Amino acid sequence: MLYLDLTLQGLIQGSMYALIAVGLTLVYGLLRILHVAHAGLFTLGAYIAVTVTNAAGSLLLAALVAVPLVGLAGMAIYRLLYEPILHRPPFVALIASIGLFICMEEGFRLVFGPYGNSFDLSPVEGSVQLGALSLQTVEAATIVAAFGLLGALAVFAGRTRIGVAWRATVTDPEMAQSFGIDTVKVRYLNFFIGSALAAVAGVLVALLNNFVEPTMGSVPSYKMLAIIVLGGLGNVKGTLVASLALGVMESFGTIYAGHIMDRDAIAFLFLVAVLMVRPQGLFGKA
Amino acid sequence: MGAYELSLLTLIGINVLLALSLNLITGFCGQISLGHAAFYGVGAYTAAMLTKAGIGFAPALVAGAAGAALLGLIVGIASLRVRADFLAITTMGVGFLFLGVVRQQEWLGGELGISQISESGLGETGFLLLVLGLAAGVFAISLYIKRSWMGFAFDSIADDEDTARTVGIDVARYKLVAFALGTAIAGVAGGLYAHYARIIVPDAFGFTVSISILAMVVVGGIGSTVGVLIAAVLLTLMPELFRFINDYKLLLYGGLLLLTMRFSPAGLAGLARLGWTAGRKAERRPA
Amino acid sequence: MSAPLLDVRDIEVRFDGLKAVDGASFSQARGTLTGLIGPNGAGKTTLLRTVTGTVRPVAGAVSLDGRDISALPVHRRARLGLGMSNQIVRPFRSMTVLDNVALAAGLDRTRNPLAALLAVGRTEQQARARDLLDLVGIADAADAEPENLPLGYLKRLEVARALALAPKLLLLDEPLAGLNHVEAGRLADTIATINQTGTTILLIEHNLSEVMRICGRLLVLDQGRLIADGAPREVMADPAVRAAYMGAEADAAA
Repeated sequence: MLYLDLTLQGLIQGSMYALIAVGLTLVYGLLRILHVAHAGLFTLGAYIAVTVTNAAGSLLLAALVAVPLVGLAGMAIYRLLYEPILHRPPFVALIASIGLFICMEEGFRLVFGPYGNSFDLSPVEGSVQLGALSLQTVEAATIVAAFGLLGALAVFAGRTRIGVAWRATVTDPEMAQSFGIDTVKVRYLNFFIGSALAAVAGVLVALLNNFVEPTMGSVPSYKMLAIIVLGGLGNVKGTLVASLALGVMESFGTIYAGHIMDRDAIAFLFLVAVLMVRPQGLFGKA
Repeated sequence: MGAYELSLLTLIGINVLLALSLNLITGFCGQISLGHAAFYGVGAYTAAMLTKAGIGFAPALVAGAAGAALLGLIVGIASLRVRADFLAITTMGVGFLFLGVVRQQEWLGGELGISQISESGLGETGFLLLVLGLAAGVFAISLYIKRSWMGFAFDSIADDEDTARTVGIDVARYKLVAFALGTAIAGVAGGLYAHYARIIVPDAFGFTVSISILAMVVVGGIGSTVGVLIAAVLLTLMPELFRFINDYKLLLYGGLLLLTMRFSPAGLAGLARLGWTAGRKAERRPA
Repeated sequence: MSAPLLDVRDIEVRFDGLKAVDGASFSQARGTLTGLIGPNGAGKTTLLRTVTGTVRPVAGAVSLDGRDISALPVHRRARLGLGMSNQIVRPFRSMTVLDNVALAAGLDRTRNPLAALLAVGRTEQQARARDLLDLVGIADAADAEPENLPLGYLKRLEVARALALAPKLLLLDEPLAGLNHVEAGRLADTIATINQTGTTILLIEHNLSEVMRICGRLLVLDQGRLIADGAPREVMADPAVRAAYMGAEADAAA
């Protein structure tokens, strides 16, 4: 029973990782940028959810505001920060992104205060019974949302014209351009979708913990980097597998290795170990 | 000099050591490191544990440097296997790993760290002189390396390591030297810090510290010894001199990283060079 | 004649399962100037890179001066006397043109980190670099940043930098591409002169008239296989070569 429970908790955590990491790996696949500030958008989504819900009393409205708004914020980051420095060596964008992420965290601290915020009334309660397992509704929603949205993303990328153009651009930008695909539009779309997914994760985490704080993105931001490397940078399927695997590994690791290192170090131990054996990541590169 | 000034100058000296040590790895040899505070931490913990065990300050400092360089060599060997993007993440991972492990170790004091670390025995002024002397020494060594053929070879590796190999540069060995040298100096800085603060906690060697060190290097101008020195002094002084900045220290560092990379990736050194060229052009223009 | 300077045996290279080089073997005598030609995509650059070590073959062996260098890393081969100029130019962009060459001329200074640390001063190497820049005809750009130079200059910088290693064997990958007619003729003359002063040269080049003019021997590679080897006029008269070459040329022209 413990094993099953740990696995399930790991899957919930892993779905959350997946929602955030997909945007990150897509940005890397397209622009070769390690977009650390992505986790700042995740936090932004969470804050908007709490603020709007408390003000308007509707979680649905809050989600409908948070997701597109964060998507737009992602596009703005691309336009204002990354686009002008794309021609520079990759570390330039990476360091700029770290700087932006720190500024975002500090911004949240200044605007919303350092101690964190909660929903005035818990908007989702109750639990779901799955055989012998009991899940909070929010936990179930997280798994459903992650699989649903990422499934929809797969269908979008595989079946629609825009989706195909997008995939073509990620695989070979020059070739895509020669086929008349507007690669700049694809980049905006990419940032919008990736950031919107991070916002969804932000809303879900806010609900799961009934708590948001300025630094809630710190651990995810760096752990996501580990995940996308393990998944093979730019490789969406690999990223999903790595997310879920890490979630499960952490939930077991905390129980069985917690006395040696804390939960957040497990991801990096795994990362460093894997890179030594397979420098190209678990699932190869884009 | 008052106690406050002594203390501030000591802190500046330690930060200059740290920034110059990272500049050797990231600036000279082009190997980005986002986990430099881990080596600083290894030096601090090693030296603190040793002096607590009754070993003298000087050998403890040397042991701290050796411990940090050992970890540095391991990370350096790892760096040989991965490409640049992965290296950034790997070094960051090493930083988190260090913190994650130290926090759980009872014998290292866990979250509470190590307190009541003995004094260096040099007195406050003597200690300050030691720190400033070491910082000046590392500054001089950095300038010398840049002029030597080692600096020349580092330049080529930072530029394009595949091409460096084709002109006979043993890239792997040079990288390892940069890592060993840079991390050993960070280890010395750590040993100094432990006997300056006399209490160390894991968070003093966390990711934000790594980023602060990186900010000094980046703002000064990656690879510019003088620029990095100036940036290390300024970035340490600013929050101290303007108390109101202290609350926004991280915002300042983050903002500087962002703005430098966005508008002047060569940092202060790059701005100075621009100003110099513009000035010379203006002079040459007929009146 | 003594043992060949370069001996390439049964080299096979695969990229993603495709055979880029398929069992190529040849040897080259000391002091010769040999052209390696073939249509685009024949595997010429790949073959040359197995000699310098930047490409690792799945099978085969390379010997230089009677010594098997197959297992040696790139920098060791450079030190044993292999200099290569790249087809796609790769200057060190943070250095002046002069320092690009001076670094290579300081091979003994950079042999290990300690020696490099103890050595200061580049005057001697820069003087030699200046002579080499003069030899390839770009001495006027010595103090320029590579960033600001046209391709023709960077091509010649590649040659000068490879020469600075004082190589036993100089491998040139399309040094004439991107040069105008006069520049190409002049650089071809320079290459011939370098050869006459004792450097063995293996040259990949598409400029056939210059190749025919300066090379004493031609090797023809097509689809990863050597299909001809001999005196330039005989080789070019070979129907198989004409078929491979002209067919590809016709494709390229279409």
